[in-house]
Order: sequence, then C-alpha cells, then structure tokens
Amino acid sequence: MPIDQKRINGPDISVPYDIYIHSEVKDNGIQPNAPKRHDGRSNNELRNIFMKTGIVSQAKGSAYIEMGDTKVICSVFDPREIPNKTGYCVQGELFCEFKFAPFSHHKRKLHQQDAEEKEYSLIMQRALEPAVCLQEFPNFQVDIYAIVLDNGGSALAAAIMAASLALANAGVPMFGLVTASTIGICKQTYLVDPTDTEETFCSTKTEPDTADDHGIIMQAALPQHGQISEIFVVGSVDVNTIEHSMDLLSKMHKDICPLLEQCLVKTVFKAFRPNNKKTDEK
Amino acid sequence: MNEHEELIVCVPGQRLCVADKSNVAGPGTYEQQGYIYSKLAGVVKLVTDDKTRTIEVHGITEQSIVPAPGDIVTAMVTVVNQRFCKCSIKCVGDIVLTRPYRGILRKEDVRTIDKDKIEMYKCYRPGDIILARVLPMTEVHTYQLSTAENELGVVIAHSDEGVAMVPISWTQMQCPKSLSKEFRKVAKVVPEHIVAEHSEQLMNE
Repeated sequence: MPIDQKRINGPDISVPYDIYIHSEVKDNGIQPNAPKRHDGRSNNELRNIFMKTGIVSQAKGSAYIEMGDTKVICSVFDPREIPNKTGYCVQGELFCEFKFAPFSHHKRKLHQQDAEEKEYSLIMQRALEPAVCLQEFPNFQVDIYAIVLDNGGSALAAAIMAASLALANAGVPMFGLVTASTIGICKQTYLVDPTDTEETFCSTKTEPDTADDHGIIMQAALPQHGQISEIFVVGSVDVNTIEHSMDLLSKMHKDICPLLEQCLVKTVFKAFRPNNKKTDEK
Repeated sequence: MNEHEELIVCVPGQRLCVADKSNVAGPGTYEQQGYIYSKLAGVVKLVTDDKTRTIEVHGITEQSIVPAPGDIVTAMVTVVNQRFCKCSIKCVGDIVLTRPYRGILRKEDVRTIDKDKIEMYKCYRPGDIILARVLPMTEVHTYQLSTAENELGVVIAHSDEGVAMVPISWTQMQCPKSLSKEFRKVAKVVPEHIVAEHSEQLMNE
C-alpha cells in the first residue's frame, strides 16, 4: 500500500470486529410486520429532531441538526471566487462537500472523500440549487461543508436540512427552505426516517429469487412552494411503490418545515432583541 | 413611554402579501405568481409612500459587501510591474472586507497629467497602502482601480528600515529616522489631529 506522508501510518489492513458476530444475533432487532419498530416508533413516525443555528463562529452561517442518533454540522462561508474560471457567468454556484467523520459509523471512514461521499455531495448540491437565488452573486460560489458526526441513518436528509438552515443563517438569499426525508421500503412495509439498522435491512433482499420491493428513497423538497428539488432512489422499487412513497414523504415534509421555521425565528429574535433594549433605554 | 413596534419576523419562502399596485416588492423579497415572498430570515419593514408601500426584509447578518464602481477603497500593493501593479482590496469606505478582492491599477490610471512619463517604481512599492477609486469592471474577479485624483494615492509607506514615512510633497516621502527620500504618488490626506482640532472648534462654537 502507498504510505501517506502527511499522516501517522497505522497498520496496512484493519478489519472491524463486528463482522465476526453471528448474523443470528444481529437480526434480533428487526422484526418484519411487527406493530412497532425496534425503537418503539410506528411506521409513519419521525425521530426526535433538534436544530440550532450559529454554532460555528468562523463560518458566515452554520447549523447543527440531530435526528435521533444522526448528528450533522453544516457550515456556510462567504461567496468567493470560483477557481480556474475565466468566463463571465450570470449565475453563482454552490460548492458542497459532504463528509462522514471517521468515527461516525461502525465501519471506520477514511479521511478522504470516497465515492459514496462524493455522490452525496452532488446530490446535496442539486437539492439546494433550486432554493438559492444564484443570480444575486454572479461569478462567485458559496461553500457549504457538511460533516456527519454520528450516522444513525438518514444522514443525507439531515445534511440537506442542516445546509438549508445554515444558508438562511448566513443571509444567503433563498426562494424557500429545503426539507429532506428518507423512507425505507421492504416488501409492503414503508419505514419513514429509517435508522442505520433499518437502512441495512431495507438494502438487502430477504429471500432469494423473489420480486419483492426493497430500497431506500430520499426526497428533498421546498414545501412552502410545493416543489420537489431532488429524489434519490437506491434499490429495486416498483413505480407504484414510488408513488406511494412520494405521498408519505410529502406528509413528512409538511411536518418538518415548521421546525426549520421556528429555529430561524428564534435566531432572528435573538439577533434583534438587544436592539429593542437599546431603543427602550434611549 | 415608547411604543416600540412589534417585530414581524419572517423566514425564506414565507408569503408576505399580495403583489398589486399598492404593495411593491423591495430588497430582500421576490415576487412570484402574484404574491410577495421573503428571501431572507429577518424582520419585515414597511416603507410607505403616498400611494405605494414597499415591503423590505432586513437580514440578521450584514450582506457581503462587494466593491462597486465609484467606491473609494483601501488597498495594499502586492506586485509592481512596468505597466500595472496588482493590489489586494482590504476595505470599502470604512467597512473592512471579509475576503480580500483583487484589484489592478494600470499605468494610465495613476495620475491625470504626464501619463506618458509615469514610472511605476517611482509611484508605488509592494506593501504600500493606497486609496483608490473603483472603475467599471472589465475582467471577472479583478477590479480596475484609479488614483487619478489628488486625494488618492499612497497613504502609508514604510522605508527600508521599516519606519512609516512622512509625506513631504506630491511625489516624495521621507523617512524620519534615516532622512532618506523615496518617490511615491502621495495622497492628499488631511492628518487626523487637524480633523480632531476642527471638530473641537465646531463643538465650542
């Protein structure tokens, strides 16, 4: 293997220990067709969500989001010049970097972006571009950095929502807020906002040589305008199943959007309340 | 007692009102399908004229300020050439920029008289702080600067010994330590203590 001169070199090959656990012990968590999920939720229930803006002082705008065990921090920086670009462009650009922290999952992630993270970066960029007023900053690009501290499932959806909050916190003009949600499909079961265990369960076929649906669908939307900005499907899913998933995901967007709005309203109140005190003193 | 107005807080994408003859979309808002929506997370301001009412949204953070043609900027000279010198724009007026922008000052824009006899090395040196005016932009990401005015030019320059030099004429600066003279395109800047004295006189009157 090539030696990385910029880092401390550990062993050439290391294998996580959990692959040696018997699969029978693992599958006790997931019970198909059970009335409740393994964490006590019903099939159409979201996990607890926590949001906060303005946590990274060096960034122009930032946001932190927790969805169950998934924790994501997103930072937005000032518009800067697009490197290696000479032509004039009427529209600005978004640059998104999605990264899992090395400690964010059972399997350790490397320090450089792998193929999955690069794909997620592009998906995140496509999800946010319809919402940002790119014509307000021609010839510049806005940098968005999302890092997943803990991957408990639906990390991409959480990152997109954190990026939307961070952009609004940074004062970047936007047509609307972007919400994102994920749904896991296994046979006739629809699991909204799946955990990482449920994601693994939905990504694999339960029985060989069957034509059952299985997969994961992530949808990003602007619920204030009733528009979808991005959809990402992994697995083998029928068209009718996708239609039904769209309806479920739209309901989730309507539930999530007020949370983003409340978080931003709190931020605005914090920023403008000292002005009121000064006005009262005068 | 002061009856302070209540804050009308809005978020991006929030519908504010109908767009018609009396309600006009101002900065921080946009119009779509007959309604006015907000672009920013901030506070709504209503600016009322005799007939129309302009709806504005003021955000939390100040917008990133970009130099515009006609602004007076403070820049630092980085590279000096025979035909032009490159600068790094630090401030626009009194506002410090979060990111420095690139500026270019051509030989023809240094001063208004004797354009053909200008020698760049006798006007600017790397590290000088200059005041300049922004010309209309011709290149992407590079601002054209001009010092063809009496009040524009070098404001702060250091000698070889690292001491800030004192301007002694339009074209020369002198080091107070070694008394050596160097050539610069000096800006006609009023010293700060004179400004302070003038302010005191106005206060006394």
